[in-house]
Amino acid sequence: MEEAIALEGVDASELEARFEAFVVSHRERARRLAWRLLGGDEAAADDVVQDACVRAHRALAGFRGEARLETWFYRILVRQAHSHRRWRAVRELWGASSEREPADPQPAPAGDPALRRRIAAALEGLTRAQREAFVLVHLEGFTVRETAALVGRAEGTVKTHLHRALQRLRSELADLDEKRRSET
Amino acid sequence: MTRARDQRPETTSDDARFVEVLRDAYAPEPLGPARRAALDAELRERIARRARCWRVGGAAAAVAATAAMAWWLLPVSPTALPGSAPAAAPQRAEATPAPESPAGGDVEAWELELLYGSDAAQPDGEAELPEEYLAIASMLLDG
Repeated sequence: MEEAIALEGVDASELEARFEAFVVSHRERARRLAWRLLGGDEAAADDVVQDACVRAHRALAGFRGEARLETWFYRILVRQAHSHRRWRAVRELWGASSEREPADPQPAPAGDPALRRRIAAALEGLTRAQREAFVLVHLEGFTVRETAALVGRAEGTVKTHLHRALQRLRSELADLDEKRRSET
Repeated sequence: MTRARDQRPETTSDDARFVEVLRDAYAPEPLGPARRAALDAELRERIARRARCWRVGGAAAAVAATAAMAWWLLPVSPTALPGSAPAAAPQRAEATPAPESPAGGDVEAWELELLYGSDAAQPDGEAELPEEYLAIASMLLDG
C-alpha cells in the first residue's frame, strides 16, 4: 500500500500526472474517511476531500521527498475535516443551521440509515482525538504507527485513545452489540 | 509480518466483531460514475481558480506595496497635512525680539504686542523680571 513517490528529478508535468493518478486511486478511501469523520455528511465530505486535494496540489512543489505522499495527503484531509467541524459548530452556534444531525441525503440508502445516525451520534460523543483514532484505525484500517503520523501524536497516546473510544462506543451501542450476539 | 501485526491495536475477538459491525453499517454509498466525473471537473476548476487568484492577488499585492513605498518615500510638508498648525509665533518665554521690524525702522510697542503678545511689548528684558528676581540678579551680577 505504500506509495513512495520519488520527487527529486521529476519534471512538473510528470508530477502532475502522478498526482492525478494518486487522487483517482485514493478518492474513495479519502471520501469514506472524511464522511466518517464528519458524521455522515456526504456534501461536507466531498467538499473536504476536494479542498484537501487542492491544498495538496498547491503544496506539491514544496513537498519533501522523504515523506510519503499518502501520509501527507491524509494528514491534510484529517486536518481539513477538523476545520470543517469547527466551522460547522460556529455556524450552528449562530443559528445558521438548525439541523443538529446531518440529513441523510441518499434517496434510497442501502443499509440502515437510522443505525448510521446512531453510530454518528455515538462518534460525536467521543473527543476529537478518540474519534480520529477510532475511525482511522478500526474503520479505515490504518496502522497505529500510520495514525500517529497522521494526527501528530505518539503511538502510545493513539492506543490509549483507541481503548477509551472502544469502551465508550461499546457502552453507547450496547444494544447493538447484544443484538449482534443474539443473531450469531 | 510480525511488524505489521504489532501495529494493529490489541482487541479481543468480541471487540473485533463489534468493530466489524460498525465498519459495515457506517459507510457512505460508493461514488457513481456521474458523481465521480462531476467531482473531477470541479476539482480541476478549483485548482485552476486558485491559480488565477494567486496571480491576481500577487499583482494586487505588488501594486499596493509600490504605492505604500512611494507614500513613505515621498517628502510630505507638515503644512500640507490637514489640521497642522500654521507656522507658530515664537514662544513668549523666548528671547525678546529685536525692536526692528523685518521691513526696517523702529517698531512701536503696539506692533510688538500685536505680533508677539503683551509680554513682548517690553523692550527691556530686565524689566520683565519680578522685583525679587531683580534683587537676586543684581546681587549676583554686582558681586
